[in-house]
Amino acid sequence: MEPGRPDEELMLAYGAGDAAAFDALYARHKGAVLRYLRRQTGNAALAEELFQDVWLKLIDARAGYEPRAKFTTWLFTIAHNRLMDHFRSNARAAVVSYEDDPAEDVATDLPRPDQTAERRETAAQLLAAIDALPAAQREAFVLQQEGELSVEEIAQATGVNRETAKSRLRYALTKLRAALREPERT
Amino acid sequence: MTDPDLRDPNLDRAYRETPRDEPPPELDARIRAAARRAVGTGPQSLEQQAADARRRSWTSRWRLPLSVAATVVIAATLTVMMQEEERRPRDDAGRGASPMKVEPAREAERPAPPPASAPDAAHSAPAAPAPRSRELESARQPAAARPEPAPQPKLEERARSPEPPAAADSAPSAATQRLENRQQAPVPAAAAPPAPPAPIPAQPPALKAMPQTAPAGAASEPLRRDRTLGDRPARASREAAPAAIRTPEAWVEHIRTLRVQGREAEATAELAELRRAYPDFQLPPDLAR
Repeated sequence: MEPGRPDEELMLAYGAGDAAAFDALYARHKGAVLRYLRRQTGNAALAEELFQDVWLKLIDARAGYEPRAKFTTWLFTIAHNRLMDHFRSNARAAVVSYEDDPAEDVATDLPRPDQTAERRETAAQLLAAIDALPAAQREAFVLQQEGELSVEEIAQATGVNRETAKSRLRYALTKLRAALREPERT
Repeated sequence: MTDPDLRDPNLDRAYRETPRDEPPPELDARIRAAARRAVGTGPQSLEQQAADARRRSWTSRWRLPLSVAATVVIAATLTVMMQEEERRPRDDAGRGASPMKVEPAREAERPAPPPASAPDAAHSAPAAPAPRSRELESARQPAAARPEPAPQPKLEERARSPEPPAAADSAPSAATQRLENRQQAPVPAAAAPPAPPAPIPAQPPALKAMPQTAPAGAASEPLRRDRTLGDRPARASREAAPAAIRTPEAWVEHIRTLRVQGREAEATAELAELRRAYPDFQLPPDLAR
């Protein structure tokens, strides 16, 4: 591990032939990328397949890497694009689900957390609520959580403008808060 | 940046409690291996190792021989080119008169080519006789490599001494001039390379014969220049004296002097000469009579 070195420097070092720099980068970000893909696909095996593709794409792109943006933005852009390619090639309706939901579509049918549950249960409920989000909103939230991306960076990674990304994130937060706040329906 | 209302600490805390999924170790290993392969430092699959070994074996097998062959070809080419460059002026010069081991009589029979056509002759004329080339080659060899005693040691030393760089590139006429200077002025014992023009001592028979057999105009430029320079003082004195005498006034004085000395006939002749030379000159009354 190379704890002190920024991601961008490690990526440049890897592009120059330093395999240890790749190991450091991979160790830092592999979990976030895998979780992002799992949340978006809902399929562990598929997520792992896409996960491998994402890192292989990064390896192929090492020579042309320029630190024009934060490394994680670049990395999640690759992951997002790979995900979109997968959805397109599999003719899945998920692409449609990436379209923004209408504003009044507040998630009233999200699973509500058990107020008295343990934190682990709360987490599980959150995961369920996340899964219930529209794909675009889910993606915005997961990128914020896993990639520590700002609204601008989410917009950049997902190829939308800032207002769209902001809107998606706001809706996701509203729905998730509601899901965690609301008492379990009977 | 992120608006404060777009970040919820409760959601953040709850999300951190979710399972932190990680890729399985074998997937990690595959990706890391791919990353190392890409930069050429990682373990490779057996198939890829075999392919790389095949590729490497071909390159490693041929790299050294090809490098050596290329080096030899380049070196040989350069050597041949340098020898050609060096031989051309020597051949041109040597065709005029070779001071080396050319038999005097045979050399004397060979007419010296005109200097202007020397470069063409070097290319278009049939090659010089082989023995002659060999002699020139032997002249370039160190003295130790040549067994026979040097009949003209100074010239051999000259042949062995490296030419100034400009000499190889200079025009054939310059080379001819250099050689002729060498022939006319044997290098002194200490043999500094560009000897100044020196008086011509005893020349080899071939050199003596050359002017006789050479066609008109075949004398080289420096030779002609030397002759001209040799003539110049006499001619100058010859021309300077009459000019001093033959100004009309001085001439008149000269005639008067002759008359005073009683050399009347000479004075009359000079006067007639003066009249012929300066018909417009107004003679003084004592001479006008």
